Amino acid sequence: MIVQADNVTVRYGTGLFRKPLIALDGLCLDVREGDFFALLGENGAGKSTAMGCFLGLLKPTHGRVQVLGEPLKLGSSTYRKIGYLPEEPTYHGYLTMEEAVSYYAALYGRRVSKAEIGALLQRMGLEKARGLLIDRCSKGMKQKLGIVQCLLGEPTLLFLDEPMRGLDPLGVKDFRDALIDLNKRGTTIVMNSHMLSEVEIVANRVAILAQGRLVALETTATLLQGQTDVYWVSFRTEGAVPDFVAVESRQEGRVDGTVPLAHLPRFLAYAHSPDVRLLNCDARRRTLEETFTSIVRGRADG
Amino acid sequence: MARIFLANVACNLRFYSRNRLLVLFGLIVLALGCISTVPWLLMSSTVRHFEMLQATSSLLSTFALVLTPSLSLVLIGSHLRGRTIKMVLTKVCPPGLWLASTLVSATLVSLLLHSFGLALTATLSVVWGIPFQSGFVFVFADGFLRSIIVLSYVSFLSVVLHPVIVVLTVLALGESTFYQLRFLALTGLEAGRHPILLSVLEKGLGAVYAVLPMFNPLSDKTQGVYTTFRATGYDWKFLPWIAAYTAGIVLFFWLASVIALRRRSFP
Repeated sequence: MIVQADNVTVRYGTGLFRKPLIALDGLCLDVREGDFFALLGENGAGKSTAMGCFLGLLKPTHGRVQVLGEPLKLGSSTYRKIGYLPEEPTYHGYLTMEEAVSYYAALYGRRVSKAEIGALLQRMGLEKARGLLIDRCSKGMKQKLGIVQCLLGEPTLLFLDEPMRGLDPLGVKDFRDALIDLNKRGTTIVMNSHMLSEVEIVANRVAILAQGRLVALETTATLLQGQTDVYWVSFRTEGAVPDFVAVESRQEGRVDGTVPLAHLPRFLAYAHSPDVRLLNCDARRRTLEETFTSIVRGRADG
Repeated sequence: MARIFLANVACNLRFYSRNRLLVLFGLIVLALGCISTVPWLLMSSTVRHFEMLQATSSLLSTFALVLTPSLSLVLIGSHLRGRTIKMVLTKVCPPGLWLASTLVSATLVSLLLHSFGLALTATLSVVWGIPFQSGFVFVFADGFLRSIIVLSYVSFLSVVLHPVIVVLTVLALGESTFYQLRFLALTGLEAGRHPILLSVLEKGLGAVYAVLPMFNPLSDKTQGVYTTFRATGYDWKFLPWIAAYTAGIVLFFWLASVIALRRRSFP
């Protein structure tokens, strides 16, 4: 296992006479070599806390975390194999982009030439900002710098906390492609994100957290499988529409709607009737967003 | 590790040079010193050049003594509170190495400030025709070591406390405060009032006094050099002891800071 969390609980003190806040409650999960692992959850679900524990930045109240086969000690040589992109832009704001890249590379024990720094910044579209103080950069520029710095150590394991935040659409696409490429070349990636459409594209395994508890841990395919309980249908008819068809729109004789899987045989029989012309009937796969919403809301409701 | 250490030192020096708060603070301290000293210097007659030299040396020494720990306070406070430290510790840079780099970078600036003080004092002595005294060098070295003691203590406090509380602690809860409180407790004991309570209090205050660093070690032995600028062999023999004490204090507080930083969480 690349990352293993064993019954990890994190409690934060909220005041002398107040109940502590349970940020993580008995989290057990593992990230396997080569995974593109996504941690999902609402705000305050414990995603960043979990990542903090994985990175050794937070000490669990209970439980144990192992990364690359050992508990991480801050600043140890194991970090040479790890890249980290924090959620908040916590970079050294008093350095210029160029100085920052050089400094972060040095912290990995690497010496990078000015030409290399230029190439790295150019790849992220930051070449014009190389002499600009980080404090004066936009959020998106800082995020791009974060991406550059977390790849400096040529990591085998990447921790990305909300990596797409602040990026423009082209930046999102470029970064997504870069991550997919890295993952294909063997880099294990652990990512927190609220952009579920992006997660659906890139992640092969997903963990869903709710109020500090793990509520789902599946491969993305498994999570989305078995969700074909609804069919999108389109047909033309001038007559009445059966009540098992949930009509989304009806215009000039064309009906678009959904049919539950249980009523599919009845619908197909109806579609064979002479005054109905079937245009389309597709199994409708739920998106990750819908699955996530139903799991988290379903848990909250019941 | 040497490369990582040097990269941290260079980064810290950039922080000092670009931090407006520090630059402003330095200018204010210097301005306050000048306001209180310069008019007096201008009004003095040429016969009092020696006293002017003393005042200048004292001003620059105090300036360096105040600014040196402030460098560390602002640097560590800013990196811990701004969470920039997360970017450092999640790379191949152990907390001890980063803390050592903060001490070394502040020490370098302190050395520069004290050297400037020594150079100015020496230049003024030449200009005013006062023979160069070995005491100038002694005062420079002693002042530098005192700065390093305060620096290491403030560095440790900055790791565990809020910067404002650090300043209050250093200003109000120094060794002299506990010495005086202990003296008061002893006086009360001598007078026979509340013997049990005062005895416990005296022991507690004594323990705190013993733990706190002396900002001015062996000052009773070396005080004369500051008034005469003459350092004899008798005075010089105390300097290695002050240096050894400084080294011990730096090592102690560095270790304490490393332990504190390792135990800290970085949410």
